[in-house]
Amino acid sequence: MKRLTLANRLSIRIMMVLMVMSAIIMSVVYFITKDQMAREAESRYEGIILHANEKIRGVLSDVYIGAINNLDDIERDITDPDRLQAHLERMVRQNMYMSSCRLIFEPDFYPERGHNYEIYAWRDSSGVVKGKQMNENHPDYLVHSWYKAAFENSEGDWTPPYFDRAASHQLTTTYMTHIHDAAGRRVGVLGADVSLDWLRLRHKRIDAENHQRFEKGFKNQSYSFIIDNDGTYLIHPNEKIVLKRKLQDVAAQTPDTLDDSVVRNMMAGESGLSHIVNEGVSSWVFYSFVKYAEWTVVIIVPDEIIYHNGNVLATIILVVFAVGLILIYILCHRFLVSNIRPLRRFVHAANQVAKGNFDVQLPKVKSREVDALRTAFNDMRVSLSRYIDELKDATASKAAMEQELKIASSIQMQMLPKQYPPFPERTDIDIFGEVVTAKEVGGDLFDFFIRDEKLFFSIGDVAGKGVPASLVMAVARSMFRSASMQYVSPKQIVESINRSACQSNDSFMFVTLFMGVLDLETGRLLYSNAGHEPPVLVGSNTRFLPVDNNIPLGLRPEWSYTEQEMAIMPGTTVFLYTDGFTEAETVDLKQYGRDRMFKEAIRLAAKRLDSRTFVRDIRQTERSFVGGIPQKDDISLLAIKYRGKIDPKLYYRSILLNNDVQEVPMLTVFIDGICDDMQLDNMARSAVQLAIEEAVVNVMNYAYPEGTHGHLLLEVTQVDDEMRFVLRDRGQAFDPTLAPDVDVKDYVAKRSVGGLGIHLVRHYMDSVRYERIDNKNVLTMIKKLNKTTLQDGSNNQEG
Amino acid sequence: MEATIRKDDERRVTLILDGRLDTSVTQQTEKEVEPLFDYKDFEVVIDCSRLEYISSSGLRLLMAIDQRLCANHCDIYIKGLSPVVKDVFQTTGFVNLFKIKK
Repeated sequence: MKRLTLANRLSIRIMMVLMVMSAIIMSVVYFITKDQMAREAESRYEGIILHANEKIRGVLSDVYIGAINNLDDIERDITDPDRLQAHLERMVRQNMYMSSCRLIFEPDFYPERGHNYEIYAWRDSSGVVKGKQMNENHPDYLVHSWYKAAFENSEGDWTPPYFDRAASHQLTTTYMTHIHDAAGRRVGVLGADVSLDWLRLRHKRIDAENHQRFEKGFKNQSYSFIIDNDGTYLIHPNEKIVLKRKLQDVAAQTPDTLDDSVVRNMMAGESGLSHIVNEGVSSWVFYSFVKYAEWTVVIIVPDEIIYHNGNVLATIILVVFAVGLILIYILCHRFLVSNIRPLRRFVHAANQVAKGNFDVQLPKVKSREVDALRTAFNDMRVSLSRYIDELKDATASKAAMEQELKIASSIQMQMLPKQYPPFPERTDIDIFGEVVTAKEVGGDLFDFFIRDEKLFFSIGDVAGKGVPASLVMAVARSMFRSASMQYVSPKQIVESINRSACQSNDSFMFVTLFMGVLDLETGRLLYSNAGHEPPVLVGSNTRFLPVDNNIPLGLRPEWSYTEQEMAIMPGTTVFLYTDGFTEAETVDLKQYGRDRMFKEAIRLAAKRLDSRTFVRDIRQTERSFVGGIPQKDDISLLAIKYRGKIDPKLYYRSILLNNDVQEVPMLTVFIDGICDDMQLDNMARSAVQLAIEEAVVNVMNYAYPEGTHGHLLLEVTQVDDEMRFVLRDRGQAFDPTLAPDVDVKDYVAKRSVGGLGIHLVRHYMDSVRYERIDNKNVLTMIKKLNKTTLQDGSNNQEG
Repeated sequence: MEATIRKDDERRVTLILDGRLDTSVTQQTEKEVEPLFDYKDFEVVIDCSRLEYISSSGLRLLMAIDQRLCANHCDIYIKGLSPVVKDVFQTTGFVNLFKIKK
């Protein structure tokens, strides 16, 4: 779904609040207005019927009063019918609603004027009042109800409306009152007629007026009618039903009972308004009871007329509100959009900046907040552009430096001997060296060259790494070269390098260095060690080259370095390394370590490897120990295998052991190698193994008190058919040959185990001799190599 | 060097010695054979067919085993001696100490 813009969200929220507010206001206003308008319409129609009521009452009252007021004159002149006629004519003339009036006398009241005598005055259609005296024969009037009623009621009464066929031919009601003479004799009745035509016309006009003024265009319009006290229609728009039908009958025809009760209320002389369904149209009915006449004026108004104005007004309010809301929404939205538009341009600008175009201009903005953002954005853009420029410069210079470092590295590598074998024409020496730098340039160095049948070699490690270390390394290497040209003694060479290094060492960088000079004729090695790791002599007697503790180069110019000497047996490899090799660590910070390297060197020694393979294999042991962890320090390895002038007649091997029975497996490997050389068969091999192990373990157990540290040196030589094993140690004097030979049967019986070892040595060796020379125990064991043994050996190999 | 104890049935248990029983491994092997001493009234066979080499310390270990098993009323046999090891047994008189099976 697409997310709404801020403008939309904000305007929608404002709209929602406004809509709720306006809905409340509108509904209140709507209902009040509608109700008010309905009230107004109701009161209008109420006014109409009340007015009609008043008018009817006024008219009837005028006629009644006119009749009453003339009673005295009539009764005074009762004897003169002509004057009575004049009275009646005056009455009609003075009273505009009185359509006619009459005096009906008792039979034979004026005998001279006939049996049935009547005086009549009326207004003709032109408005002229006329009079006549009649002598009609209608004897039944004396028994008419209206005639009787005139006498029964002291003040007289209005007759129910009737259709006057005799005179006006109009709907008429008559006020009837009785007349007495001075003697109180019954004379007759006075009837004052009111034609209801005016009322009919009036209602017609009112209806028409209503239709014209208030009800234009409505399908159902209001109409009014009048009923008398027994429900008969007196006035009705439909004139056919006047005097012929009754309201209650009409009401009874509908299934609705509400109108029946309304009709009952009317009959009971009440006034009011009710809501009914009239001829299928929901309508209000207003009715008002006319007191004297006992009529009821009724007007029926359809609902829609009553409510129309209210509805119209409410609709107008609704529309105005709706239009207002829409206007507010549009204005609000436009305002927000115009204020937020800069943000969109900011987004565009930010994208531009992201693409690296820092020259984008930001639009001017009106609102303060957005302006703050604009300023911040601008500042960011400017500083970003500055930083990028700086970064570009830095990167460029870094790239240049890296390039230079690469060149430095290759120069450094060129300094190191890199052609192997370096002296392919020589058979007496086999050298292999390798440097693996942790960074582009390192601080390790080694070098070697031959001068006057002497091999000058050195290995060193500059404290620190990187370019400074590599520079010092380059200087140290050239110092080694120049000093080695000048001197032969390692002591002199090292001291010369030290002096030069101290002179120019303002940065206090120091170098550990081992340097040696190997006489290739004699195998004599002169060496001097300036704080470097002790090299390993790998061969028949694998051991560390003993080194004196001299300080590294570059610290003290006056330091007197010691020089040591060692005879290197042909076949021995001088293995030199830097501390990056022994201090290589696994991921959980376990060091490869010098001891482990030494053990591996012993293991490899038995294989009599050439120097290249030796370096590769021992490096492999370190690699597999640390397990793929990138190296932290430079590693340099240099193996120098001295073959010497090989004398096939001399066989010599040696091994140096700690006084620890755990060294026995090393011894086993060593003896195994010798047995290979001697081509011994399994039995003889095992015999030699067992005798030597017993002798060695014996020394380990008895020559050194428990818990003290010591060494054993085992040297093996072979001359003609004799193998000579010489075991030397510096422990307390101990002569195993003094032990009495065990009686095998005896100890089996005793189950005692002493002297078993020396018994085995004696059994398997041809001769065992002990000497104490220079505080050393020297045990010499000789094993004869008889022909059969050798023969067996060769047989075994063939088999 | 590896020492394995294998229970063959309700009456017999076999100790298999594999490799070189020299001085450097004797102590370790001594610990490995310790469970053997839980067996009482068993026939114990020490299978040396894969034993390449034995030194005096190894012999001493065998003697210790023998003594402790005797205390447990076990019968001990040794079988599968290689010529090399058999030579040592003969040299030291151990052939008299153990019943040796072919």
